[in-house]
Amino acid sequence: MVDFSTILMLTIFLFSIALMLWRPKGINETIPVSIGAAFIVILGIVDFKDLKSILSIVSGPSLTILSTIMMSIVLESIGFFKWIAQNIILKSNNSGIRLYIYINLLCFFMTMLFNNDGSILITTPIIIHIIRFLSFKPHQYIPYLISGALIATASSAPIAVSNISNLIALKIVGLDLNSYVKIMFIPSMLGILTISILLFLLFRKHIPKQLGFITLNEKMTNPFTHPLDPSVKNEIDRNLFKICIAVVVMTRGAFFVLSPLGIPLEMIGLLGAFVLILIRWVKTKAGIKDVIFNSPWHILIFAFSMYVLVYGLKNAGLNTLIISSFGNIVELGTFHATLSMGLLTTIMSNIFNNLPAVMIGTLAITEMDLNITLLQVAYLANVIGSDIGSLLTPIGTLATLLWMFILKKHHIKMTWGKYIGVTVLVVPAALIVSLLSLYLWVLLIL
Amino acid sequence: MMLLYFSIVGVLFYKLFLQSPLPAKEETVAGTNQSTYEQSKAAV
Repeated sequence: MVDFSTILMLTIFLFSIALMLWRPKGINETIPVSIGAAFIVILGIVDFKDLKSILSIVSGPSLTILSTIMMSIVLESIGFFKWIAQNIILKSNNSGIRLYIYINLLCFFMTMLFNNDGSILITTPIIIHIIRFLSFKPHQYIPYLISGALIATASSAPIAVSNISNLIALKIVGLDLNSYVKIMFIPSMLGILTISILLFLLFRKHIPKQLGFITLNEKMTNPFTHPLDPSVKNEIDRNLFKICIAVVVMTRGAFFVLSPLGIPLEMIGLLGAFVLILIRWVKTKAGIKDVIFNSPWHILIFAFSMYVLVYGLKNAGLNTLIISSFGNIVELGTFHATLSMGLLTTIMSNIFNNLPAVMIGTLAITEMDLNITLLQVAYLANVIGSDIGSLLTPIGTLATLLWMFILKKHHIKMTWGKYIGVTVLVVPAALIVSLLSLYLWVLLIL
Repeated sequence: MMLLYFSIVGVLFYKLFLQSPLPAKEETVAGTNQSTYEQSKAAV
């Protein structure tokens, strides 16, 4: 029997999520989620003891993601990403297919080195810049835009540190970073590869063979001009780029080397960001002001409030519903656990976004009384559902929603129908490939 | 293992996206009024 508090909790949750996705008058997504969370606390569905444990779970992952955003702000300020944009055009050397491969690789690497939302925020304007410069028609630029967005978002699955929801969920199930990568890298990479190949096959007729643009050889005879903006000749410091990318890479590596020694991930990330700021100050005398003002500090409140909402659902009995519906299936073994939890998170993500979906799914499996292997496999299937399955609709991930907003701002028409028309042909296949590979990979290594 | 992986990622990233195909004297970077980060922030 569903009682009044459950109905009230569901109403507050759905209302908050709907406002977060709709964002009337462009309000920050943190506002509706925080108001919803405040209501839940006032109503006593989540008590102060719960708040304390929620804070300890979400603060670390939020600060870790924030540190990667700080790093990208520093790199942006030294012209790092503009330099990348112009190199991509030059290295494509008049080939549309080569440009497609470079853009896919860029989106993959950006998520690997930073995080999925940051990757979308940086790569989408770069891609728009390139397609505008090359005067592509809509049917020609759609392949680049959609593949970039899907690859950037899905690439947060292979390593846990590229996605805040993965980090939070990781903490809930008590899995360490190295074990996560050992199990997840191969299955999720196969999923990403499937997305890239299927998109290429789908769009191969629309990808221009020739870009109709100056080639590398022609460029060599035309020094001191720039392919994106010939009027501008800002000096760049390639040595600084080298040092900065080395710091970013070392910070990522340090996550995996130092976290087993008990050093919190957020400390490593913040130290990396600090070193980058320091290097920039030494080289350019630029201070810390831009990093402080441009960093999205609100993600700390956002992640906390979102988890309060999810905890409220748990306290109101949603977990019991999931456990009674899926518990028996998951207990049947790794195959059933993988497919059922992966599909459940996919469905939940595409209804109300992957951040609450992966939290709900992970909280549910921790209460299913599973052995450690089944628990971890079910959690990793959750991650695949929330990182790859969630790409089916724009609602599925915040990164895809950010992408839609950026396109709209740049007057690029991308309807939900057009987006889903592509993803429905690609995402289910990539999801099944990833989930089945996870099952087979687990059989092989565990 | 992950250190090796990220070293490979770093080298690949540098070779693919940061190493210019042009001689050093031609290295310039495009400028706009806004950074891409600011453009994205403004867009959202």
